[in-house]
Amino acid sequence: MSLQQLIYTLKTWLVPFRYGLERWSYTLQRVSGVAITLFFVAHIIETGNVVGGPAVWTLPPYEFAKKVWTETEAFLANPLFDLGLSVLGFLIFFHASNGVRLVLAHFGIILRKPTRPEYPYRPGSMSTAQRALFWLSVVLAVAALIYALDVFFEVLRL
Amino acid sequence: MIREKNLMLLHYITGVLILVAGGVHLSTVFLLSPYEESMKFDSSPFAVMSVYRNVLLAGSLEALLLLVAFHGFNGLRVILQELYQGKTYKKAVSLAVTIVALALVVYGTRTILIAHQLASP
Repeated sequence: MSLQQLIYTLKTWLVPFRYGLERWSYTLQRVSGVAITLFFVAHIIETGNVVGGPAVWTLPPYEFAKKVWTETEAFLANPLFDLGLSVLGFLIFFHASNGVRLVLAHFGIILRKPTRPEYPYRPGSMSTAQRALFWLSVVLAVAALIYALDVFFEVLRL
Repeated sequence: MIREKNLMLLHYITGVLILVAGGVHLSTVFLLSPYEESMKFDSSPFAVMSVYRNVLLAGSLEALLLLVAFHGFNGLRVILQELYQGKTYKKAVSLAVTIVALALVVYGTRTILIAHQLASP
């Protein structure tokens, strides 16, 4: 595979313009999925370090775990990580609720009947229910973002 | 070899189950007690050690670990296998993704078991 082909493929994944809602949902679902998986890996490694890291497979002293936890907390308590976690909240809530829409669509529950491609070429797959669920997942994700920002930065004090 | 159809069915099933297990995890951190209290190591009802002491909550973390390990790395596999077609490439991606996911499950299970023992009086 040439570099040009790779760039072309990445473009079809990551540039959602000009193709309608489904392409936006596709790109966001992929990007959020990869981001959440990377966070998952980091989270498992970080929590593993608290009980002694990969070298320790026996019970560490309680005070040791408490010390590492407190140090990790102090290290992670900065605006950059808080902002990252807030964005992650957005991505998780979008991925989860949009995922529910995808499962429903996969089993044909919220799909319209197929129609002939006639002008103005509205895709029959994007039913009102589908579009409503997509925007609902965007709303949920924004709500999660605002809630997380409030928890970390105490702007609104909800 | 599991068929692609069944893998994707499992992808959907694990996805829906993550809604439950992830919901429990997020609730213990954000909803059931204030965030500052949940982030304490001990001496608060939903602090780290309190969560791991509770067999049900620790079990739900283990479930979440297994579910996300499968769901996340199956998703990664699908994305990577779309990038390029070829039998060897496909097998290599499947193998790599399985190894990393299994390693994370083992490492995460160790964390949960140790933390549960550490938290138990």
